[in-house]
Amino acid sequence: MSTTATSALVPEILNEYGALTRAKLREYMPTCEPRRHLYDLVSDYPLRGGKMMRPSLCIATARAFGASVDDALDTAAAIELLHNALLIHDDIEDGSEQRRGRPTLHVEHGIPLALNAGDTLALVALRPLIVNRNRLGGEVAMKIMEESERMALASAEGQALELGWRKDNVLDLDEADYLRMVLKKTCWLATIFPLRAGALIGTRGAADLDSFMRFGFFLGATFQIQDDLLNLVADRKYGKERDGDLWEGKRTLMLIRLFRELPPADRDRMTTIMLANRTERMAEDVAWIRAQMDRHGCIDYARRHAHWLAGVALHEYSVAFSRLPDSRDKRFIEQMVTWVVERN
Amino acid sequence: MSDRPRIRREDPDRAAPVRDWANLFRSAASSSTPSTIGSVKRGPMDEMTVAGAANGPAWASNPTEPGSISEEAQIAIENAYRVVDEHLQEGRRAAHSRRDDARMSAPGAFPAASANAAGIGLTAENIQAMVAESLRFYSTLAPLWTTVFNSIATAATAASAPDAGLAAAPLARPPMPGNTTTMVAEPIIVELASTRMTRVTIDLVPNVNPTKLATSGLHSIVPDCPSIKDLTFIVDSHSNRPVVRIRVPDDQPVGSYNGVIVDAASGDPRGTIALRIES
Repeated sequence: MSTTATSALVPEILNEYGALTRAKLREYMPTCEPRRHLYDLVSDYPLRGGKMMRPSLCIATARAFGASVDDALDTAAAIELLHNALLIHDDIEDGSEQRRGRPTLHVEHGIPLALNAGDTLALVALRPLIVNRNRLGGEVAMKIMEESERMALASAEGQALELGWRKDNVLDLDEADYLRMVLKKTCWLATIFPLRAGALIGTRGAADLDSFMRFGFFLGATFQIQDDLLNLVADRKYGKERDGDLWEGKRTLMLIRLFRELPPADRDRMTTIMLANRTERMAEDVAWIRAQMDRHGCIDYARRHAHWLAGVALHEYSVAFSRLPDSRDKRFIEQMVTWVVERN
Repeated sequence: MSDRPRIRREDPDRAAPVRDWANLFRSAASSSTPSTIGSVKRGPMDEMTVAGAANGPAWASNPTEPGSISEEAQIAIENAYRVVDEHLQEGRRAAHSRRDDARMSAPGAFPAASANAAGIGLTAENIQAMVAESLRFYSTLAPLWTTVFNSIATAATAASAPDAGLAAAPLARPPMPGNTTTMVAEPIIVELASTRMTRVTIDLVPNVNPTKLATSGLHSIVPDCPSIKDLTFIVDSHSNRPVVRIRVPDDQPVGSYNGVIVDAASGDPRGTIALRIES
C-alpha cells in the first residue's frame, strides 16, 4: 500500500460519493411547512458539508461486491441523515459551540428547537431505508433496517456510557473501557454499519458480517482516536474549537492515560477539575491538563495506539475483502485506514 | 520436499497460546503434569521481526533489551480483540433471546462463528501476525518510532554483508500480567539473512544443550513448495547461547514455513521454528 496513492484516491472517492449522497438526501428533505422553526433547521447540518466518510464506505463496500452505486445510494443517504441527527444531539449533550466551522444548531436556535430538529432528522432518515425494498427486495431491506436498529441502539448506549462517566466523574478507566465505549458510540455508525450494510447490499443479504464488525471496529477506533488527537493539536481548519474535548470533559484515550500516569496529588487535582461542568471550568485548569498530557506523553501514546489499531485494521481488511477482485472501491477502502490516521 | 512426516499441531480450542513445548510433545501417559494444550502456561518464546532491508547480515550479534514497544502493542491489540469479540457474543446472545427464528436462519444474518468470534482462540501466530502488521504500518507512519524500534531490534550488530537481509537479535518476551510462569532464561539468538520481509518465531524448551541442536529444515504445507534448508546451529562464544543461522533464498515463495528443532543425538524434539516470508 502506497501512502502517496492514498492522497489522491481517497479524497477523490469521498468527493464523488459524497456529492451523489448529498444529491440523494436532498430528495428526502421535506420542503413543506413549518420551515423556519423545523425544516430549515433539519436541513442545516446535512448541507454544511462534512467528509462523507460513512456513506462513501457503504457505497464502496457495496460496489466492491459488485453492486451499483444506485443500489447503495438510499442507504448511504440514510446513514448521513442519521449521522447528522445524532450530531445535533451530541452537540447539545456535549455543550459544543462549533460544528464544521459554524455555531452549533442549539447555539443558533436554542436547545428546544435544535432537539426537535434532531428528532425529526432521525425520522427523515427512515424513509430511504424503507425505499430500499423497491430496489433491493424486502428481505435485504429488512436486514438493513435491523442493522440500522442495532446501530442506533449501540450509538445510544455508547453515548450513555461516556455521558455517565462525565456525570459521575469517573476517571479510573482503562483502554478496554475506552474501546468498549468507542465501539458503540462511534464505530457502529461511522464504520461498522456502513460496511455491513454495503456488504448486505452487494451480496443481496448473503455476506458473513462478523469480519466487517472487526474491520469496522478497528477502523472506527483508529478514526476516533485520531479525531480526539486533532481536537488537541489541529488548527482552526479542523472545524471544532481546539481543546473543546478538554472543556467538555470528554473521556478520550489521552485523558484516561493521563489519569493513570499522574502521581496521587495531581490525580486529586485532576479529579477536582473534571468535577466542574463546562461552564464552571477555568481556562487555567484546562491548560494545566493539556500541559500534563504533554508532560506524560499521553499524546504520543494515543498516536501509537491509533497506529497499532490501524495496522490491525489492515489485517482485518484482508480478512474481509481479500477474496474480492481488485477494484477502485476495494483500494479506497484499504486506503481509508491510512487516511483516517493521516488526515488533519 | 521431504517425505518425512511432519509434526502437525492442530489449532487448539483454548484461551491462550501454548508455550510449553516440553509438555506438548510429551505423551499423555508419561506426562506428570496436565497437558498444556488448553492451559495458559507460558514457556520460552523468542520473537523477531525483520525489516528485510538490504543491509548485511550480522553473524555476530549481542543480546538486546526486551522490546517494550512490541509488548505494549500486543497488549493493546489483545485488549481490542477481546472487546470486539465480546461484542459479537453479546449480539448473538441478544438474537437468541429475541427468539427470532427468521433472522437466525437467514443466510448472512448471524453467520457461523469465525475463528476469532468467541474472543478466544487467538493463536500465537494470529497475534504475532497482527503485531507484525501493526508494527509495519506503525513504522511506515512514524519514523521516529521506527528508529527507536529498529535500534532495539538490531542493537549492536557487528559485521554486514551485501545483498542480505537485516538480522536482529531476538526480543525475549517477559510473561504477560497475571500469568504464573517461568521467565525464559537464555533465549536463542537468530541470525537471519534475507532480502525479503521475513518474520521468525522460535519456541525452545529451557536449558537445552546448545551444542546438540539440529533441524531438517523448514517446510511449507503447499505441495511442491521448496523447503528452506540452509539452517545451522552454533554456539555464541560470548554467552554460550544457541544461535541459529537461517539463510532465505531470494526466490523462496511467500508463505509460512515450519520446522522442528531436535536434539541431534537423540532426535527428541526441543522446539519449533516458524518462519513467514511476508513479501
